[in-house]
Amino acid sequence: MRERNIRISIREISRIEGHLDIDVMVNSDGEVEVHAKALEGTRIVENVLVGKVYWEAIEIASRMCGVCHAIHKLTATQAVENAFNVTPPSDAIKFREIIAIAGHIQSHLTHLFYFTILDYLGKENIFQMLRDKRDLVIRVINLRQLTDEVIKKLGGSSVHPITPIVGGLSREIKKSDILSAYEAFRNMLDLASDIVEEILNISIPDLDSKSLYAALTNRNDIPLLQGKIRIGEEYHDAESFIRDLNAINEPYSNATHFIYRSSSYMVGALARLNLNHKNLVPEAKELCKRYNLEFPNYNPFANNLAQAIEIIHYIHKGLSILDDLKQKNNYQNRIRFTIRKGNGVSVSEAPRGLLFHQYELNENGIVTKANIITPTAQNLKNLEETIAKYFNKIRNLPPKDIEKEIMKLVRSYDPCISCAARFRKISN
Amino acid sequence: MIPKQKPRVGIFNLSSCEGCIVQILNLGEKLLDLLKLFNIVDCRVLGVKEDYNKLDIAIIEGCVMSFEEEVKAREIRERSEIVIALGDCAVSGNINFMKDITNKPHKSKPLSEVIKVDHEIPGCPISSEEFYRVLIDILMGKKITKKSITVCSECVLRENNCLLEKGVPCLGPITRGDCNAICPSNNRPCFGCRGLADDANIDALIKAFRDRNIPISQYLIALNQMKHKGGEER
Ligand code: SF4
Ligand code: SF4
Ligand code: SF4
Repeated sequence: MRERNIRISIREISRIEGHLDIDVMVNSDGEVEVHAKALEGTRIVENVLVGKVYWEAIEIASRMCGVCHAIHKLTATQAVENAFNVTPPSDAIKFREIIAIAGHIQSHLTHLFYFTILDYLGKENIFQMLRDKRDLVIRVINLRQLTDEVIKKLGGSSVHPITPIVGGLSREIKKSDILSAYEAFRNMLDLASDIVEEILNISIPDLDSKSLYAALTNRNDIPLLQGKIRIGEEYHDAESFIRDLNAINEPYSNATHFIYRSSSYMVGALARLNLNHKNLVPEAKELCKRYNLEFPNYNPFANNLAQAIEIIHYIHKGLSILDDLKQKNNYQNRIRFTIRKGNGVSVSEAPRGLLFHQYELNENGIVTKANIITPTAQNLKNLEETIAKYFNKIRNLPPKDIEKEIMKLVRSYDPCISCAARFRKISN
Repeated sequence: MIPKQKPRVGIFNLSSCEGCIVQILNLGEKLLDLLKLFNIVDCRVLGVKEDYNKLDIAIIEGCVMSFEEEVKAREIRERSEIVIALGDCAVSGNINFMKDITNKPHKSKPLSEVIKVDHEIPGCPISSEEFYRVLIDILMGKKITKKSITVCSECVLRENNCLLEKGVPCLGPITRGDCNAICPSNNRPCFGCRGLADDANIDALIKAFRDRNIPISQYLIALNQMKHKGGEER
């Protein structure tokens, strides 16, 4: 093995979800190698899921992440529904979509304002921002609160929503749910534009780092819960996509790092818009135009901007779904089903990108095998490669500044290490 | 009495999903009120890390699942006046979710098995309002008490249709309430996330399950064993 010199070593990057260390090494030939070390993961969830009855497994799967809990729960539920071959009523699907959208916006807000924007404003944390940008902070908090209100009202609880179950929703859908969610989305719209422009105004570093992008897609939408996977110019369903994934268990990391065939790829807001920007709502397109933001965009720092655009897109999306539901007076919340032996997989768009849940169930609905692939586990290899590229660009800066820049890049990927390290592919 | 200096607060997490910390963020503008009264000096998730020796209040989310976490918990204890266990993971090890009761591949310990805990805020997730209340009570020097009502009694007040009667395994009769019985109110059984109520009669609930042909869950069996061993009651 060639000698490697550790040039940069960053411990416990702050303002991300979970514990991540980064080492940048340069070998004697001057080649740069980066290790993204996910150092969490005392709980290997799939082991806990095996042996549990399907509904219990879904609750446990949702409790692995307090940030993306809603999408984990919905994806797990859909996977079990696929195994049982049951399709919930369309009202219930729309209702769940609203929960997913609210979770999506909330996650983006937390990432952009509690974690990321501080890098560009020279602040350490959101409390420091309170001093000179108090108005903005309060508006962000209020917008975040509206998303919380929606999840609480429709889901029954702000964190780990209660109502989504296999076959639909546990309780009846009331007209008042729809009206109050509609009201909340209207108010979001009023608050959001100034807030989002605050993000679009930051000037991101230059970095041209074209990757392979993967996202859910369909004809006229940027779907969160259903769709085909597009990677590059190929289209796949979940099963065939997973078959082409290669899991790399790096000795230095507790997370599995995934590559597609032999190449790293990127998932998340930037990937979604790079592949689906044509389907943005007109208001979001207009905003892109005003800020000279074009997709496809190969700068990974632009993931922050893509998230900002998505906030506007998904508020409009939420409104139009609720508009549909408002036209009705009676809703169907669930459908009866029979438990049967089967294998179900579901793929969704978590705020951070593609999320897979796969369960094998026996005739009593007990989980016999589980496999969960999180967005961050898919992004880690790509992140390592991108850091290497960026390092080459900034290697002459003082080490402290290099560290700062690398952390900024890491944060723009919006990694969730807690999830990535907790879900590991179990060998069969 | 409000002390002259704002109490210094640290927020930490061990093995958890961070959902209870998210519930703190979900306080919204009320979080800003808390910031007027408390000084958060340490919280990795929020990027706060000030220099300090002693903490007045340490808030710890999550259970202890490794030696490193045990060490971390002890260190926090040593430098903190008051330690609060935040959420079911910290309070009970979230045994119904985190621990595999049948084959125990990993051991999750509640915080109180490792260090002395002064206050517990139960729930998976915690209720934001309760968190707010506990902090204010500490500041005022009030004694913190947990309400002794069960989920069942709150559920009955809300005139929900009883799930247990329909043969659904609801743990409401033995679970400490003060959550507005949100699960049965959404037509889902209570899974006991707020821990055992005072005087919980587990035997009676097991009998009620048997009478209605409801399978007895591993969780219930574990609770009962714990109780009959006399030892660690939750
Ligand atoms: S108690 Fe529940 S919500 Fe809180 S950290 Fe644990 S799993 Fe997450
Ligand atoms: S549904 Fe559960 S909590 Fe409600 S009354 Fe019945 S047993 Fe009690
Ligand atoms: S009803 Fe039971 S499971 Fe639901 S929040 Fe209350 S105590 Fe927890």
